[in-house]
Amino acid sequence: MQVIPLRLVYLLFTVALLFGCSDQKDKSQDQPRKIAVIISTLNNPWFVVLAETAADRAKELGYAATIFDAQNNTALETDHFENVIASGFDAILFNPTDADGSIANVRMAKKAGIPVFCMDREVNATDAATSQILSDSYAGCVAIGKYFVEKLNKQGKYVEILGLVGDNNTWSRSKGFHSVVDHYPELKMAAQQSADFDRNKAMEVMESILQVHPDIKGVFCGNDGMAMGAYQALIAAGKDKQVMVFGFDGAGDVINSIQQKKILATGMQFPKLMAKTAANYAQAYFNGKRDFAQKVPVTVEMVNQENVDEYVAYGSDE
Amino acid sequence: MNNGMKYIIGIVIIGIVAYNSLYFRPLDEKLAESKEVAFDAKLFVEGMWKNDLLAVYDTAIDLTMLIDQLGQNPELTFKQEAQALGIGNIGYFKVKGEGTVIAVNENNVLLQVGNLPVEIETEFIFGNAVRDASGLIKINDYDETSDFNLISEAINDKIRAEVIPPFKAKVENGNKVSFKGALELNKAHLNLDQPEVIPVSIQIIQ
Repeated sequence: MQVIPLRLVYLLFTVALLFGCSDQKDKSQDQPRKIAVIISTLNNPWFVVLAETAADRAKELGYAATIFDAQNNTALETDHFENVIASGFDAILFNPTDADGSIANVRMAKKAGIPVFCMDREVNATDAATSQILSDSYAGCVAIGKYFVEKLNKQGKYVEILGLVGDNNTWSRSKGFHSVVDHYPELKMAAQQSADFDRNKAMEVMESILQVHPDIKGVFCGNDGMAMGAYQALIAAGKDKQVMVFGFDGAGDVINSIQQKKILATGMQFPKLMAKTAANYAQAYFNGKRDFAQKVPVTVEMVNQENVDEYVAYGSDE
Repeated sequence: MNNGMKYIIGIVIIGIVAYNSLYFRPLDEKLAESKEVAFDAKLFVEGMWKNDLLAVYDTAIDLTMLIDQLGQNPELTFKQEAQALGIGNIGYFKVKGEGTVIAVNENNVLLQVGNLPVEIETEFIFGNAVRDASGLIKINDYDETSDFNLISEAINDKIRAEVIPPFKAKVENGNKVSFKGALELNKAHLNLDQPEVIPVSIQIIQ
């Protein structure tokens, strides 16, 4: 029996190793980069638009994109981040669930060398995300506050329905609104309650409030879903003509409701613009850009009875 | 030393350590303490008002000239003259001008500036127009976005307290007025019919 010389074995092993590496390299070059779109919740059409636009734009740019739903749960959000890191994703387009609770997840991705671009909602840290593309909720709600004061003629009882208490947007909107309304002592806030940005919860909250405060004149809601929920409760109580409802988002059903004079006004955010900007930033990052502004505000425009015909849902068809 | 004495000494030592390790304070007291070191927007605005903010408004563009330029080439005029924080349609302009009072209303004073009616806001002094038109204050200089927004509130408070009352107390129809202030416009929905200016300074000159 002929014995293969040891040198030949080494040679064959080395060649196999080199070709193996070469194949691997070619494969990684052929595969598109992967972008994860992690969204706080898909149980709201506004966030569905944000998520789908981000994923579509990423695909347009030649990347593979996968959407993850955190279901407003930071623990599930952590699972998604761990999964995304382990699966070798190259960037994350992120809509955080909680401004404080989501920081650790962003840091985990940063430690793994994966850039994170926040969309719409921010995290309370300026050294974690690569960039944060955020709606200027405060300014939008200042505009709504002025309109609210004018429409209620500077007097009367009103209600505020807040979003998730852990989300900065909830408080930016509330503070913007109150920066105007609190200057009018004849405007009395009868109740302020959270409904977690959820339409059904807002309806329940509004039903309860109406039992205690049947004489309110206005309700300001931190998003359009809650505005629709509050409006449903007002219809059920026969008070939809008495109470003026104000929302925030620019969702399709609320734009229609403003046209039909059911809802007075909303703050038009631009989810498609934010999502596309985030995907474009990821591409710029892949191409070597690193000097991103930490916070990039996106203006919010008030849509009301006077200008609703100039707007479409979510700000644009593009 | 017997075992009983050892236990007593041990319990006393543990008690002393525990007593000095744990303490309870009312939450509102602790929160108030953290507010003491919080950003003081009012102090910040007082410090920059005269030498920075008013000084930068001295460089404002003449309002009638701006409106003329916007009518001719809005895209270029927004690019050259507007300040904006980030992405979007809204731009803020520093403007100045002179006009004659044609109406003193509950929420504003209406001026005739050349051929243009101009609203000087005296009631709804809110929002970020003055802060952002100045171009002096950048969002990325602030870790907390809420601190950044407090600057606008402090600027607006100062205008409401110090700029508007002496003007509103004396102004009458027919007065000639000089003003500097901020103008917010939306380039996608541009309306130049009756610009609304939030004043940082306004004087009756005749």
